[in-house]
Amino acid sequence: MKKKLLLLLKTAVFIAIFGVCLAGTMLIVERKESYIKNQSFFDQAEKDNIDVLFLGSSHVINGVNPVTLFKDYGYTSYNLGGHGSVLQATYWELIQALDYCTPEYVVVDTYMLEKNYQYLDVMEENAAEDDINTSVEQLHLNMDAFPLSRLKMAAINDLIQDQDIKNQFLFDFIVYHDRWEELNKDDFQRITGDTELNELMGAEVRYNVQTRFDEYTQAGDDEVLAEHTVGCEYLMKIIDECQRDGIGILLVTLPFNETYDDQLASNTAAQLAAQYGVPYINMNDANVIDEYADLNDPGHLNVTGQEKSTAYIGDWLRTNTDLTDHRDQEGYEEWSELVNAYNKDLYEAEQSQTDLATMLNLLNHDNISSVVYVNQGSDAFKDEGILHLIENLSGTTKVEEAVAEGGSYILIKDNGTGDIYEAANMESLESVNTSMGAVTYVPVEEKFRLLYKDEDPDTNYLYSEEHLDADIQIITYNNETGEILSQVYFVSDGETYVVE
Amino acid sequence: MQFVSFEFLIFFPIVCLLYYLIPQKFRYIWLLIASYVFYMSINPGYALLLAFSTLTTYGCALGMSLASGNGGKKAYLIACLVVNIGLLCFFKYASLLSFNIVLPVGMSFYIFQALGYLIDVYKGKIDTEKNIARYALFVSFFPQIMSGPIERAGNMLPQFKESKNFDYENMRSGLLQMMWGYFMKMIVADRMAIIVATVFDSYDKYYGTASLVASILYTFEIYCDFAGYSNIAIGAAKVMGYDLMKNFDSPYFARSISEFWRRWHISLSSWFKDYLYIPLGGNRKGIVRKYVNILIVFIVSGMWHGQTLAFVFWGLLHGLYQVVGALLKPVRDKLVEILRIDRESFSHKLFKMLFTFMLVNIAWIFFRADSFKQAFGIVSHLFVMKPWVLTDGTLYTLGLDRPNFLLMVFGAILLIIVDIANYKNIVISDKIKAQQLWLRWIIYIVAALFIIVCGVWGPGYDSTSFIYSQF
Repeated sequence: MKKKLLLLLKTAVFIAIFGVCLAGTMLIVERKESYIKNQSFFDQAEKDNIDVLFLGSSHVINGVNPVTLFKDYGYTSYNLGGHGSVLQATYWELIQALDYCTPEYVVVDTYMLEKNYQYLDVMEENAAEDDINTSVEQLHLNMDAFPLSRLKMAAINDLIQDQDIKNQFLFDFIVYHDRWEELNKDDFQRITGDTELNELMGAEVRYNVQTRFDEYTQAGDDEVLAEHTVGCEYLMKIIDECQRDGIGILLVTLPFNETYDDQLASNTAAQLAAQYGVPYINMNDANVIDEYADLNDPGHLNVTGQEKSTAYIGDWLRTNTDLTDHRDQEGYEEWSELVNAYNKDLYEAEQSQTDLATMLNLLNHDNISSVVYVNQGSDAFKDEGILHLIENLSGTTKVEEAVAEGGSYILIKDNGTGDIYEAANMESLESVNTSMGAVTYVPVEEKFRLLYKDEDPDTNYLYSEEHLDADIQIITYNNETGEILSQVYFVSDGETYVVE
Repeated sequence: MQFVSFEFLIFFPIVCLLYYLIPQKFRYIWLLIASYVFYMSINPGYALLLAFSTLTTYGCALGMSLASGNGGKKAYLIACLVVNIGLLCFFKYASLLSFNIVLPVGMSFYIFQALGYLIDVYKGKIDTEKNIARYALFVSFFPQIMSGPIERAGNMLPQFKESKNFDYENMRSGLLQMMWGYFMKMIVADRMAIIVATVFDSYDKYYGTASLVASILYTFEIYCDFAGYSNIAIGAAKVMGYDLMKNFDSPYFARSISEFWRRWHISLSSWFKDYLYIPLGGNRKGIVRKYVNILIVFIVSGMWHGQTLAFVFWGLLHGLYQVVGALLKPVRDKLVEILRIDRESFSHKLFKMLFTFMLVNIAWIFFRADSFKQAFGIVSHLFVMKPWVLTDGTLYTLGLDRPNFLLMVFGAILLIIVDIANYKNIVISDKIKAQQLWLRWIIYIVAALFIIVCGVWGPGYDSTSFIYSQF
């Protein structure tokens, strides 16, 4: 008997050790994206630190930044937007999230309202295999972070038709064990809890600039979708859910390059909102962004677009809700640290970019000063997009004078003093006041310009033996100390600008 | 339900647990129920055919025991053979006659097993089994119903009557053997299958060494696949206290084709020997008749393995290897004498082993190919020298990336080491079991996790297929 008990005990211990090892292995091989993006949600929800929940597709991920919302308004929020999230996926994201927190407000982006299919692994009739694969993969990003629960099972049953694929959501090890060949440090840090999590409370920042904006046929305000879609059905469910739980809801369409069909979807969202008596903002109609500077691509906002749309929503929340400003409250130090980290990342990004448009756009921030010099004959003078970004920086159309006369152009944007100086063609700038001290710009002859501090006339910042061919030079410097932070040279290859 | 499935990982522990919990005298009934559930999980309708085969062989065996004369017994035997082999042939070959009929999984195995019982009863080797449930369990025993080993009633029926108490040693040995089977199948065979499929499906694109590599990989793949399955089956039975016969015994170390068949799919080879070759006269009726008998046995073996002519050719090839080998024996002996070759030398043994391996390898091409055209195409490409494909990265373009390819090679090396040990009668599992607990446990856990993580299962994951910016 004693032997049997010992055997039983030994077996139990072995199974327990094996179980622990297996659980650890599962953590190591799991794909980390969902964990990295969403883990902070669970941490914040546990602390009851979520006033506002942002939901929707990647438009939301790139369109709303909870960290800048906190920085400027003091509201705590989480961005649970999901790449490719159609509204039924968003609905289940909300339902699962409400199991962990009860926000005061939910902001839902209505993009893809026109989608009229139920199952993400089936999609529309004749959907391409690649699209279905992407759709399923993207749902993993939303779902993987949520532990297995009845709610999750209900969600997967509602979103996925194929039983095998359902199983892959409920036990994602089925899929991710194959990651053994690409494991890296981050994967192993998962078991020690040292993985670097998303520092923007679920948001992501893109920096590129889409300088082209396609014009589509404008739909009339009364033109709506021809049918009641699955997307509409789930938007109504989302509203119902929030109203039932006493949670405020704001429907939005975040800015992007809307096609005619997208406009019909937005109009339909407005109609549904009116039907339910809930607020709706179509930010495409509200002139929130500069379409030629604030889009990363036709569908997604870049960093400046994100800041503008976040601020727009922040203003709305301040005007229409009683949300608390937590900035000076105890217990929110972590948020302040995230703000500092965001500012630091932004500051570093502003100093060096490989894409000219991206760099020019980033210099709109007032935490850094800059000199932008465009040499005589530069292709930039023929590029409407670049000229628009320079005009955004200067706030004037002075650069057009250089375009007209074929000369050079310089812009000194000094955020330390708040002054902006420009010179076109053969104009000079004499001892202008900047954070670097008094600075002088002299156009001596074609392609030879002087830019120096008055206290050190021998150092010409516009001359470099190594960059004689560069036709655009950008100098960044510290607002307070005037310390030069970076000098970046761009060369045009006729179509794009590359760092030299 | 396949052995490599979640369903089986749930099914098997439950069956074992209940098996040991219920009273001894009811255990075989529980196993019978579990076996039918297991088999019906593939297609419930298949159970009818299984039951039909079981009932006809059971009934005829009972009839034989009651029949007074030899004529009556023979009538029962022939009737039952005709019905069951007819049934097997119908399902095997109906598709060739444009019927939309698929051969039920395991039918070739359980019909042979049941017929083996019938013939043994006819020959008086064993007594008739009166208990129909116990006999039905013998035919349907779930670890071996799908792909064998094709057991003998003389081995299994007495075991089903015995009391089986839980035995820790049996459980440990069984689980270890199952784990080794999963390793062969999921780590090695299923990886090799990817490269083999790439080359065989586009054989006209691959000349020379790539074809040779693919053919060798197939030779290993089919071994790992089938022997892996057998190991899982034997291990699973062992956990419940049943000893199934060994089905593979380091077959690629054989130094002749006849030795190969004593080491490969032993349960089938011995079945053919006992129930076909010997009844045909074996080697007792002269040398010509012996060769004819060999050819008949291997042609039938080819037919048993598959429906197409390629399988028949594969069987014929193995028969011819042996006949030609026997005919050339005087020449070979003379050569050995002239060249003063030491038959006991390692080099001679190695040469014979490699030669046998290559003969088997070429025959497998016909087994694997979809058509004669494809098979002859691959064989004709086999010896075109393009050794640079071994070093220029071509091997990593055949369906497996570098890490997976290297893992496959590692698996194959481990397999060869274990087979060498087995060939020298060294039992690796006994060596492991002899270690201290901490080391044993580490080996068990690491091995299990290795198979679970690196095994080929699930839908696969390709990080490059994720295109986040699409929506």
